Amino acid sequence: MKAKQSIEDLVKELLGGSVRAAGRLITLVEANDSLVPDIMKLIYPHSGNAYVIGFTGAPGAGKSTLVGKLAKLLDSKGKKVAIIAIDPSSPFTGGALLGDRIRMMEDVGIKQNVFIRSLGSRGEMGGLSEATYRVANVLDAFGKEFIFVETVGTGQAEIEVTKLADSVIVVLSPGMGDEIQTLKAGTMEIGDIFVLNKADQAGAESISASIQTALHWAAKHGERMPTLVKTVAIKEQGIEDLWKELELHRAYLIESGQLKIRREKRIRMEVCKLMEDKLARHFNKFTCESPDFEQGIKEVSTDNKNPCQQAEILLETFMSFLKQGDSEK
Amino acid sequence: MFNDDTLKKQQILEEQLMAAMKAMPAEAVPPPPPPVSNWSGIKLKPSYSPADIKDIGFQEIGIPGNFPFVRSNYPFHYQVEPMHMNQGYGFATTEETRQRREFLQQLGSRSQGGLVTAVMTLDLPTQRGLDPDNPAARGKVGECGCSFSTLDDFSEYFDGLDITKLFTALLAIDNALPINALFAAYIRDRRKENWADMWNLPCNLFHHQQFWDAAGYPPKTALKMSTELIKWHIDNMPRSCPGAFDGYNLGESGAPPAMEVAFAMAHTIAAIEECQKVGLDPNIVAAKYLGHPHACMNFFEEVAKLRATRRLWAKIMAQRFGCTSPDALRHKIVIAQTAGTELTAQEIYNNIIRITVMTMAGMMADIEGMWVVSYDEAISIPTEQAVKVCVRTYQILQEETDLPHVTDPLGGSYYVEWLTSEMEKEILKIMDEMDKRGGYLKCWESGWIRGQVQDAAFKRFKKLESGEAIKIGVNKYRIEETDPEANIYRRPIEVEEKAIERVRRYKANRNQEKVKAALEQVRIAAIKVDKEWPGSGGVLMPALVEAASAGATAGEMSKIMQENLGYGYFSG
Amino acid sequence: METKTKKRVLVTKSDQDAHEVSVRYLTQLLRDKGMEVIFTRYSIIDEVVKTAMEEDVDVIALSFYSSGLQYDTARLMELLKEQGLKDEIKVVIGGTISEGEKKELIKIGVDEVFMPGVGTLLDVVERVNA
Repeated sequence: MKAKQSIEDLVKELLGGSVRAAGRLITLVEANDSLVPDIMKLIYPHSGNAYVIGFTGAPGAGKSTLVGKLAKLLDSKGKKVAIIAIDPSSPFTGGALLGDRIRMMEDVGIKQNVFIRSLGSRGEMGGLSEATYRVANVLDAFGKEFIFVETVGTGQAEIEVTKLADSVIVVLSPGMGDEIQTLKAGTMEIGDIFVLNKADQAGAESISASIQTALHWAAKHGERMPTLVKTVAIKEQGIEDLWKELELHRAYLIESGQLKIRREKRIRMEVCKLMEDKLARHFNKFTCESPDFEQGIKEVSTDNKNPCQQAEILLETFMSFLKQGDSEK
Repeated sequence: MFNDDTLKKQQILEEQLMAAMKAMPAEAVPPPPPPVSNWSGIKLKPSYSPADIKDIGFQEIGIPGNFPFVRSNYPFHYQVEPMHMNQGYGFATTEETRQRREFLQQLGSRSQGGLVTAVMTLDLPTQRGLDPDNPAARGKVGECGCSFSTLDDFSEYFDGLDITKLFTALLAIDNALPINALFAAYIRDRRKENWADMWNLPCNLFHHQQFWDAAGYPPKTALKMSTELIKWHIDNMPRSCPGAFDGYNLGESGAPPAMEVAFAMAHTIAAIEECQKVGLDPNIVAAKYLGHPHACMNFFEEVAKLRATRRLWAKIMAQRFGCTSPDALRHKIVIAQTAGTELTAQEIYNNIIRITVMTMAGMMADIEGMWVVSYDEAISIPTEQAVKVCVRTYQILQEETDLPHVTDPLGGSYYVEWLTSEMEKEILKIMDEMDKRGGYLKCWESGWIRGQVQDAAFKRFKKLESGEAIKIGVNKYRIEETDPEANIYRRPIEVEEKAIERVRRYKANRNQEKVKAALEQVRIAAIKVDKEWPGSGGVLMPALVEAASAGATAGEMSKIMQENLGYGYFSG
Repeated sequence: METKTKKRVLVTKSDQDAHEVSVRYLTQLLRDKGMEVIFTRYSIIDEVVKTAMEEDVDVIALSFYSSGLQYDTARLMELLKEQGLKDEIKVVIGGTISEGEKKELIKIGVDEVFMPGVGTLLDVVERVNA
């Protein structure tokens, strides 16, 4: 059994460089534990320094290998890197096989300081990006300069995750059959840098040309046109080029003020989510515990009251319940 | 196959039987047997008759020793040449390995032409290209195999042995090129002998990544490695078998028989095509392939599979590659290996019966040789006692029974001929499916092959769990008893320390400049193989032989190849 | 703490050993039980402890078919002890292990040992989940 430790101690250890404390805190913030606000309070002053890079793209494009190689390169340059690898969970049991780590481990073994954490997507829409945001905050406070977020890149939930990234990399590969569909299906809008991985394979030239064409209309409104980098991750080719491109994009974001805008969006998202969570918690409490609520429901079913009207009345009651709850606290 | 008169007679008999059954009171009619399918998914009837094989032309069956060789590669076979005993062994110390080889000789184990088998399993670090002094080798040097990394290791194991009387195979997997380069350099430089006199099997298993979810060379590189190995052996060791038609490892990973052949065949076709790119003649390449299939407990399915493989091979080599040489058209099944996955750790002596059934399937399909595994395979590296039973299994079947008297004794059986054709169709169906999915390489790269193998393996596990598939003494008729304690082989820890010491000394006492220069040539060759293929075909092995000769270790050579050829590939 | 976390299990084996069909099947069984399973292959056993800490797992399940049992298990337990994790993480080991070796493993702090022919994968799942 894991020893119970106060969050203050855990955070102290985290700031002192304890991998174990980082792992433990991530578990807590990922699970949306009731301690999250307290943890975030302790961590927040130490975060805000990391640069977050999102990786997405269809399965089989070689994302994990690419992420591993880039992490290895940055590590060799003395940068502190963390990777958050997101895998889908089973919608039936909630269990998950978190398999992406294995492909990165080949490169990022014991010798490197790269921190890797696997997250299950829990099969639910939304919620994942908030959890990932909090996990990234822990890693940020842990002193990581670059945080890579890798998603399976097939569903909306995964695309959501990229919203918390400063730079988004979309990984494609030739011969995936549906490359044109991939370009149309919404991924073009989210990418800042496109990587054509496995660029030594047949068909690389033609897909590269069609991506180039697509990039012209893929530019986000008011932003620079996305760029294309060709890599053969397995042979470590083009990784240095990708890093240069990332540095260019980062410089652009800083100079143009876009970084600030993106981060504000991210903060907005987080604050909204926190408010929503808190509201939901109170609302649950109200519906479960308040005699007024029970009474109101009864009146609808026995006295044949109009549910719409009743909802309005109960909402008023809830508002005062909310104020009361806050003042009590 | 049959004239109308015969078929008519059969139809009448069947109608009479049906009528008789109808006339019987309902309760007297036996219930119909439950439907049965074999592991490859082919539905079986309770019995077979001429009607089931009427559409198979006689030329599809022919006579033993004739195209399409379904019945046998030879007009007569076991009558004059017993099945070859090609079982592997390998221990941490040369002493133990020598003892085992001598013990096998003493028992009467023999391979083709009376050669002594030296199929040596190597330890895991060697298989991955790691020298004993590599940190990742810690704790694994010499466990479950010999450690090879230098010319000194070859001296240790092979000095004093007549290489012309050995059938050698060093199971080096990803490290096969450097290990065989060391072997060649040892023969040429230290023994001052002609490597052309060797009978070598250089372990061409670079395709393992398609079904093992372990890192390997990427598919295209794997085909190049295979070509390098084949080309060098054809040019230098004409008696060797550098091509491997490997179904065994597919079968052990979970592929049912038809799937096993389909994937092995698809790989072999791709590998021969790759050889053509560097100018090799398929007539010569195909002749250099040896069959290494899996043998499971489904006796008739295995017999039919092996016969179908031979027929399909002959057709593909003739039609697709235009082969005309009989040696190329004959698929020589030199090492069928009895399934380790069929054996149990409980009541281990039952495994002797299982192994016998699998070995008999090989004999009934008239194959050239087998690797009969020992009954303690599930728990241990074979003990002397277990190995003795292996050798006796071949000998008893060959010399105490009437099995070897007649070639292809099951030929012409309605059931066996029908099943052989059905297995062939099933194999072709899976190969067609691969074509539809964009071809073999695509199916490897996308992880489809691995997925198919894994699904089949998981299905099998589920069946064993539910009792639908039976293992006697395990999930049926189980009694609680204490089995004799497994005698698990662990090498003494000093072996590892000595090996580390030996390789360090080897590296210290050599001409460093010469080694550096030779390794640089390996690097240049590896880059050429990567970038200038197929024009660069054949440059890597010679560079490796010279590096080995200069004193480079297998690990040093492997490292350069891995760095330049994209090692660490995962499909899917 | 009212944390509702799923049990996280690290299933791992040496990357030099290709015997892993049943290990992968085990990962599926564990997932079907609702656990979060991280499957890795290590090149050096030290990686396992790093992974276990980063992934904050409750259980480490280690599989051996042929090689490295003695060295790797001793080193694993030593590192877990060093990190103060020995009592926090359950260690389950399966493979070709003899009765004598099992006793040794239990002595150095391994929680469960599965030997050939003893129990099934479902038993392993049960012990991991316990």
